[in-house]
Amino acid sequence: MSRIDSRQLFALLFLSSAWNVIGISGIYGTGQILGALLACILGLLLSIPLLMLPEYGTERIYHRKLLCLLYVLFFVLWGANSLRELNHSAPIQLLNVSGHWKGLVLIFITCLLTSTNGIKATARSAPIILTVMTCSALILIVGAWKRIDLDTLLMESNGFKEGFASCMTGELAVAVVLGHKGNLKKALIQYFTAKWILYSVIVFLCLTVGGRLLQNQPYPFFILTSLSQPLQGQRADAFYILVFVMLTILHITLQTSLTAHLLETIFPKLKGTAPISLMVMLLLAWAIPERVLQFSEHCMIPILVFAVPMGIRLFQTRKKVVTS
Amino acid sequence: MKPIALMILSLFLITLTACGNDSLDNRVYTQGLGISGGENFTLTFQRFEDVNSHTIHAETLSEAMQMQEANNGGEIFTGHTELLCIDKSHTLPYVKELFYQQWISPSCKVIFTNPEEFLQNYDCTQMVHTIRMAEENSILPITDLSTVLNEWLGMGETALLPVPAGKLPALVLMRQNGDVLRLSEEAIRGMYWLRETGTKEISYQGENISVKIIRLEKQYENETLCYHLAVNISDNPSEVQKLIRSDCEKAIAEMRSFGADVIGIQEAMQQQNLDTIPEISVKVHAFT
Amino acid sequence: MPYENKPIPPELQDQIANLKYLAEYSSDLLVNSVKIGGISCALIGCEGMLSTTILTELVLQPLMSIPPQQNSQALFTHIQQEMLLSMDRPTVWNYDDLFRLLHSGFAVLLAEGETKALAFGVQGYEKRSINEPSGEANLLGSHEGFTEAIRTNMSMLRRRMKTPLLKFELSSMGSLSKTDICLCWLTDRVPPKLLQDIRNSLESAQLETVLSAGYIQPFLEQKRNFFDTVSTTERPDVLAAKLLEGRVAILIDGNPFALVVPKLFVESFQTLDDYNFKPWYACFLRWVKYGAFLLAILLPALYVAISVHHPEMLNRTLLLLLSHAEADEPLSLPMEAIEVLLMYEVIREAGLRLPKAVGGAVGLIGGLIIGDAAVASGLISTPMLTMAAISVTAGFIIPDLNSIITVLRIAFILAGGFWGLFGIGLLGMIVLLRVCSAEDYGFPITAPLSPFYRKGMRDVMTRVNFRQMQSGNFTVEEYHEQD
Repeated sequence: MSRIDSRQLFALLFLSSAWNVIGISGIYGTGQILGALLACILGLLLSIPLLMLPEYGTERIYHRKLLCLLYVLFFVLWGANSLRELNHSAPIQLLNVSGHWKGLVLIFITCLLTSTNGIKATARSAPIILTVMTCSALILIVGAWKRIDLDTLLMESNGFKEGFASCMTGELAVAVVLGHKGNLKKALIQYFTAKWILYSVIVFLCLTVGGRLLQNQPYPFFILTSLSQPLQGQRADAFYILVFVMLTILHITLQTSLTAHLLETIFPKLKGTAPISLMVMLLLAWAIPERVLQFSEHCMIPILVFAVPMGIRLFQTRKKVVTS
Repeated sequence: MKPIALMILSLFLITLTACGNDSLDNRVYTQGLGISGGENFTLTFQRFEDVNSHTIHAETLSEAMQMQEANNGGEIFTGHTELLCIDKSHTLPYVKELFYQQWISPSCKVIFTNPEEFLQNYDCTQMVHTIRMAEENSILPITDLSTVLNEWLGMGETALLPVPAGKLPALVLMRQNGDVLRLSEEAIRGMYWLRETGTKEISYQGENISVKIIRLEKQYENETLCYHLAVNISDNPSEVQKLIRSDCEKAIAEMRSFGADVIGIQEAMQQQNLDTIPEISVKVHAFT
Repeated sequence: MPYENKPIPPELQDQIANLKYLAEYSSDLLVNSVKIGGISCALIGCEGMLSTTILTELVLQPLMSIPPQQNSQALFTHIQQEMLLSMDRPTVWNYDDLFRLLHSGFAVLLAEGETKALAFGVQGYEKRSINEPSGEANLLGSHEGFTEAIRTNMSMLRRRMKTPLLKFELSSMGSLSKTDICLCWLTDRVPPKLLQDIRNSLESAQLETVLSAGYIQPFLEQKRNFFDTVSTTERPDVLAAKLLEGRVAILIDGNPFALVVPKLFVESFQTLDDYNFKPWYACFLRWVKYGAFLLAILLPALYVAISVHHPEMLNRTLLLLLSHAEADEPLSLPMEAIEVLLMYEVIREAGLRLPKAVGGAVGLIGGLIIGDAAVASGLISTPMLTMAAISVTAGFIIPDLNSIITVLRIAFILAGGFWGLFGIGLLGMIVLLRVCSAEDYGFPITAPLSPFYRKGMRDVMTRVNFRQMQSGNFTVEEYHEQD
């Protein structure tokens, strides 16, 4: 597979995590910003072994089918978890289809179609979607600007744990699979910085614009969009359904494409890897309880991001010592 | 085979475009909406370009909307509703539902009145225009749906709402449970000083004097919560300063007599870890 | 083919008999038996393909003045080495080549006792003069466009690129038509692998005839995709500019369109006039085109989606206006939109196919009668007609993408009509990922946007001054992604 550049990798990681960020389940206080900061710093530290791999780390993984299978398992669990979260998310309830199940089915069918294009297409589309998202973020900020009340910032300082948990997501495993010497360092630093900035801006706006309105409300971002009105007399919150849909499709397509890509590496003769991957994710989302899914996904992150690259690094060092 | 299947699917989809779609004109675009809780829920609405109103009685807000669609045809569309009328009954759950379901715009104006009577006899356009002009001319503070709900859900659990009263609307303090206190003219001016920013024109001895609010700070000093209001006064600063202070004190007094808080007293107490409401004073610092 | 590689027999009578037999005694085959230098010969030609003036002055007269020769071999040696009857003088060894040259306007000389023939390039068939291309109009640049004669096209290109690095490689395609095609490239710009891949693709095409560029295009597109990965142009100046960027062009005899590989999506928004205007104006026009593309595809869909599913996004006055306008319409908004656009397609196609004398009436019927009458009768509302008109007009700015815009426009209307902005978002993602997956010979069509190349953006986001553009030696090879 031809290598994706650092911009594409950054856009992929950032947009995938942006889906989680805009779907934050509640606003608790300014502590969330600090929690997110710590999560991002920890993520950067966890990725040090990956950055230290002298050669192209992903090739090391591709050579070992067992390792590939481990990553496949993670991406499938991650995808299943995302499908489950999607079922609960607020915009699904607001979609103008009769019954949110139709919305889910449509998203599923779309992801089936998009994931067959492969990981390269997904990587290329990410910077374009990032541009759209940046424009929509600017519109959101401009619309919310006049409603900002800084006094509300001082009121609540909770939310450290929630902020930390929101920012510990599975994108680092994507960096392990897609990263190489030329793109990793820059992409990872940009990714963690941008993620923290996005999270902080959303929490800041929710606190200062929404105030009490958004506290203890699930998925406050979508209520924030209705409060942010760049033009009087017209509402733009429906526009963010578009943004949500784009991020959702990209998020799930990324997981599916990666799984399909790794499966093709392990089983070169296997056809239809993308639909198979998505079907398995759907099956797991339906069959496995939510807590088990989340727990498994979070447990695997340090193993795949830290332990595996560290193991490869130690193995390489030992091999060099033995050879010399 | 695949292109043929796609073409058949497209033709099928095209034929379906005639069905199941709400026609643009098959909706009731409401300009004014009135809700009244209590034993029976009552929904009153006034359409755009139509001064007549319609009333529906039901158990809940959703049921009322469905009844309108079933009986009279046309889904009630509240996306452009400009005026929400509520009365003394416990309407908070319905207001919350309207807001959180994103049925109604957060910038919709909210007024306290008898919804049925008001929407039957008055034109919403005029009322909305009056409130907007009053807000722009700094006569009334901002009282849209998001502000009102924010205050109801805040620590004070009280909101300021305009009420139709002659040429210019008056203001009332309204609790979540529907209790209401009408504020005097001085208190209305005082509320503006204690809540808003911007420039206000006041009349003093027949002259119009421009007062610009620079800053409002709350400080706890000597067991007193003091509101420090810095203003820029164009003329007669000492007299106008006294007038402003008098208005603020009147507003605070009327508010406290009602046991309400719309100026952030509870938040200040929380910051200072106070259990009881302290003495409240106002200091006006005038600049020319 | 039964006559492919069939050698020419030595006896003249057999040669002529085979010729007439293989040509099925076609009426346009001219066979003139004559003695040249004392040797029995036959001069073969195809009626209407030869220039009689050139043939008479440059071939017949010199041939008839040849002194007697010992045998046909001596005759042919004399003609090849001591006479220059035309610039193009191939030797023919089999009937396959003979017919190909004959039907390309060559005169062929057969001689008794020779198993080969001599051909002379004396083409004089009627061909269209050089006109301005109809589809790629230009204000400040050249008004020349390619014609159907491949050699004329080659000469137009050569006049613009006098460097010896410009290489032409002629070959033929089509087992029946033997159409001449010409591969063109600049030898210092094009990667050898790309050239070889293109040659392999062309060789894999098993066609009987090649009547237009569309016959060859699918063989150049390695993966089937909704979006074109091969571009076409009718302008020699545009083609020269593309060759300068390291692309490969294919000229086809009988067709004024050249195929160019690889294609980038942003090329559809670039015209030669952009390089004639001031950079700031060219930049403005570019952005107008990008906006027009989005308008062309999305405007009717957004109108339908927002009006039906998200009316709160509209201004109140506009909403009431639309509501009144749609009040008396018998059809739903999506159906109305599709009806208007399909009607436009019918009128457009009718205008294209009708004879020019009657073609003007289509505009009158379409615009005034159908449009006006449809609105007056209440079949279509004025706002819908306006949206459709704006969308269609916007699509005219980018004729290269006309087919894509037409289909996507309707698809987006369906998606928006059914599911509002949600549906538009879903379809938009499908289309976006499809565009991003399109690549040809390792060149993604979304370059230089993604993968991002800063150097390439100087002619995409803006159009930089020529002083800046003259440095850099940019070629598309930079966009190539290794596998």
